[in-house]
Amino acid sequence: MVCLERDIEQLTEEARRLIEEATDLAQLDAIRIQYLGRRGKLTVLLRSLGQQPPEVRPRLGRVANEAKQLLQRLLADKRQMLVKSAKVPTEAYDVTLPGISPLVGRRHPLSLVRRQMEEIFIGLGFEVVEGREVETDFYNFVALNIPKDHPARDMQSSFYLSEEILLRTQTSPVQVRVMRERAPQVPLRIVAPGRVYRRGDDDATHSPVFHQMELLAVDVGLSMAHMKGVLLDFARKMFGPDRKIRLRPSYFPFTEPSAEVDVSCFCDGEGCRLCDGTGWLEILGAGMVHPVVLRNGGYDPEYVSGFAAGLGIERVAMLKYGVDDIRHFYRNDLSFLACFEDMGGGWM
Amino acid sequence: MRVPLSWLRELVDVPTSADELAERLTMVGIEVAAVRRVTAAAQGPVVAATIMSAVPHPSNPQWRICRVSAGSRGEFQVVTAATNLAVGDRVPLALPGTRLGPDWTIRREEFGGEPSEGMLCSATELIFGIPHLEGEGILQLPHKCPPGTDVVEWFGWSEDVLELDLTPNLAHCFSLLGVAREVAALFGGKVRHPAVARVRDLPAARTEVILEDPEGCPAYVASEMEAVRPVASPPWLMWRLRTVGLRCHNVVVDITNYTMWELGVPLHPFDADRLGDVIRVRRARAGEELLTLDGEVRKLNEEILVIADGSRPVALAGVMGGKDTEVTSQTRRVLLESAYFNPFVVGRGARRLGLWTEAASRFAKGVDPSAQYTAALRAIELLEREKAAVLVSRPRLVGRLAQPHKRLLIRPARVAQLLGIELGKEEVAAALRRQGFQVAEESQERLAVTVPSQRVDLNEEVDLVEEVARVHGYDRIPAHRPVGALVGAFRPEATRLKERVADLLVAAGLQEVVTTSFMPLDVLEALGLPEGHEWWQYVRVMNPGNEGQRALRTSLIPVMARVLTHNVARQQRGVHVFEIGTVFRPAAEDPDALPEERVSVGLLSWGPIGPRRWCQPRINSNFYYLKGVLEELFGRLGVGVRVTRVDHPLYAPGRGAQLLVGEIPIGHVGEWKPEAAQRLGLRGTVATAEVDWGVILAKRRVLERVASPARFPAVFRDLALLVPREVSAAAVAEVLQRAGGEYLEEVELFDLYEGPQVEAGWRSLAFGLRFRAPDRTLTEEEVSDIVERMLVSVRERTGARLRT
Repeated sequence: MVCLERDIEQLTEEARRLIEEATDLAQLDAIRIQYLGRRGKLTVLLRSLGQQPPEVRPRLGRVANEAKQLLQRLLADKRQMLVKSAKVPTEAYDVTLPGISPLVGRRHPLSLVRRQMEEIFIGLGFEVVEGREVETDFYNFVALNIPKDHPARDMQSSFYLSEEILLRTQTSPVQVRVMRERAPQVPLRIVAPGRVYRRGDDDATHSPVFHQMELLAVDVGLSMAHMKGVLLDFARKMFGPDRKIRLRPSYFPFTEPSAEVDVSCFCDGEGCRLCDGTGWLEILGAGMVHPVVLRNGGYDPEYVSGFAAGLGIERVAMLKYGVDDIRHFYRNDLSFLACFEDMGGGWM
Repeated sequence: MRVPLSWLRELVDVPTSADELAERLTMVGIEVAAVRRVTAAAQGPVVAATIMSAVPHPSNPQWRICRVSAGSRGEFQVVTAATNLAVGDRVPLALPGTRLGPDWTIRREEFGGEPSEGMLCSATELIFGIPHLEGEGILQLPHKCPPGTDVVEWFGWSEDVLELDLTPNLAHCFSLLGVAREVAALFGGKVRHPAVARVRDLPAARTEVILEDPEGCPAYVASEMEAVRPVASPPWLMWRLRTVGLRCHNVVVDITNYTMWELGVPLHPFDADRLGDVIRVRRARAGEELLTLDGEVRKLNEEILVIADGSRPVALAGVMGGKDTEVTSQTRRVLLESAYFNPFVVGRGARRLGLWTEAASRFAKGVDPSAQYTAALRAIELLEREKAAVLVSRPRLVGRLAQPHKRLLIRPARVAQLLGIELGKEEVAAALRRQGFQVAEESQERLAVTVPSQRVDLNEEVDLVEEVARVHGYDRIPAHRPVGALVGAFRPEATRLKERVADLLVAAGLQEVVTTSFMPLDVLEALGLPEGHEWWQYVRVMNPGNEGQRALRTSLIPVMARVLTHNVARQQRGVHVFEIGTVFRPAAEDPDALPEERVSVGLLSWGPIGPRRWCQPRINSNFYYLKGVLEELFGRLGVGVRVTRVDHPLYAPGRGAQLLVGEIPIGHVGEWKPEAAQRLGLRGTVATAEVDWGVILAKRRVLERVASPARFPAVFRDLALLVPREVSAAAVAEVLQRAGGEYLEEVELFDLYEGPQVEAGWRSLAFGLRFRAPDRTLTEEEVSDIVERMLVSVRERTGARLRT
């Protein structure tokens, strides 16, 4: 019995000395595990008390618990001391030195704008679909009410790969392709972003390769007023909550009635260089889907109607960010690309 | 299309200014691109003067010395070569300082010692600023124009002209009459139709007209005229031609052009003495040729409709006349053609010949199919009024003209539904009546609308719906949000994943670029890819606009190389970019099949990575950098990719690798051969990679469930192995992984050494190992046993041994 009591004292003394000599927190942690851990010396000893005669158990228990509490206290005190006396770095930082920035790239402005446009339309209930860049004459023209030798073919100049195959001149061929997949289901609401190709001018406002986003809705009872509602929502989310839109009669073979859609200029009608003093910026073409196109898509124009719009992604990006030359987007000058960041700036 | 305001006002009242009219027309879809002030060529003091005397020049008998009086402006002496002058004539005198053209200013001069204080002018000189026409002579002013008057002002040679930018459906607006109808609808006025000749009791025409291609030419009006005087046109006609941008030729040709502009119906005058007695409208035969008015010899074929006489083509129908039958100053008899030609036939012919004349573009868009007879009578009226020719027989109409009106049906309820406006039957009818159409109730639901045949764009109900919308005003259509079933609006998985790949590459520090879809063949050449390499198997563009548009890209690397050279030239020190874009391959065999389109992910990296830093050195891009980016990408997307060495013609020997999913190659990564970079003027290492995105989409693992965090601590061991040089790091790691058993969580290569500390032919690879059991803490002894097993296995399989 006495022997056990002495063991406890000895252990305590041994631990106390080690604690005193410890110089860092890791040592202190090791000491704690050595004596008080699950298989620590004092723990093991305490566990063996059960085998002692009942009459000495209370006394031994008290001694052992006191020892345990003592060590815990010593450990805690020493820990506090060590923490307090932790070495203070002597050299002050020059906090104005540049930090170590992580290396992060950027999306291309056309991707940022496309994504923002997609998100606006997704929010309005439109689903994103993609189409082919190489198309047949049928889907690019004929199905869209532009037969061979139609004067509207002269509105655009196409890159042909063979007599019947060409690089699409517009995202509109997606219209008939998707309608044929989905008809007669309604509602159909899609946006189709993608590359389009036109042969001809290559200047500050024309690129032989550019991007469009097609908008198409087909449902029972859709009207031009609905088209105007959706486009107004788009204009405001893209260009600001105070924008107005204006529809002017125009002509596209695949819509009727057709409209050019202008958004009020950032100068609020004062007239500036951007809008050529008119107060309006032309942003897209739109219209009610022509009955011929609905029929080509497998819908009956007597029962459903639809609206469609084609937006130029570069055009939107140029207006939104004041870019004066479409070719900047394709030259990929890194210093130019570095200017673009998705900072919202939309009004979502 | 140009619309001079004075001319428009002849046909309809315009109760507003040019600018206001432009705005109103634009808002009904007739876009006015500009309102331009057109003036006569002559700028400066041109005054009316009376000839007081005219005596021959002493030294040159061709010249005469005239004394002229310009009223209050004084008297002048002028030397002139003109022959149509007599004492008492009133003529325009351009005083010194008058500018007739950019290089043509009138000065005080001396001719044969006689001073000349100005120039007596022809109408062509004053209006167009070009030398007078053959036989034109000095412009004779009426005596009501007092001497001293400013001639340009007196004629009113300065006016506003609307420049219309018309969509192809608005064929009717390619005429003053059509625009006048629109203006009448806008302001509620009435159109005044131009006067036409009355058909008198004349003998039948002798010319026989045979329409061999009734589809191409369903109606032909031939008018025979004699006593032709193809002189210069009178000033009013010249001025009109000036305002619409046409040149003047002679009064006969000018009047046909004038009529075309006025009514939208192109006419053509032939010199009848140079024609046979028969007119045949037929397709050209292969091998036939025609010298056209512009002096070009045109090779013809069956696609082209021609006017022929008994023996040969004499005009391209609806496009351009022939030189041989042109009306010249010698012409005494004229056959005036007024025909309707099929828009598609003329359009196809004009496109094939590349000859878009004023006539051809009008026919191709659609001319009023009922107006040919009337148009002929209008031209005859003008020709006779100007004493330019006399009609000698009744105009002969062959074939059938369309009815001047057509009848269409419209349901007002349909209008309201499509436009989203509450419009009743009466309002729809009123809108259409404002357009000048007759409207009658056909049934309870339908209106019958009679529209002029000039409106070739109106053929079905929806066309009238648009017409109502135009008249009613697009600005009066409200904006409503659509109401309908909710659908799951989303990005499809494929699109979403493309965004994800792009965002991961951005997070990895790369800049996205967007390049052209055309392949720069010169770059492909410079990269040194051998003939027959798959990148040369491109899809050809039949009609490239320039050399750079001949081929569609088969790979993103050459276009991205352009981005690199551009940016290096712009002093960039590091270029680390990616693109996700379409590449094209020819369809196998079948020429009518669409080429294959695949989405490709291209990566290009050159130069130091990141900015220069004060606290750590920076590394230059190389193979391992791009490989690391790809590993991160594939790891995140759960695509298991193997990398093996491969010889790729772009990459330096031993510096290229193939990426494989299973046994399928999905891309490559490598460092360029130095000569490839040098040929593009680049220094340093260029690393590129390209991956087929379709495989990422197909092979990626979709994360379904994740394990709970480990409950027991791990045991770490580091292992430095000496490995024979020819054994790949991956092979060693794989053996370790296999021998490690279930508790080995991770094998990570963290150090590599080759050099004097290690025997030649060997290298040292250091691996960090992590062990963990799911249900307990592993003991040191257990881990040591496992490591021992791993060492035995790695020694047996690769010859590697523990580095001591």
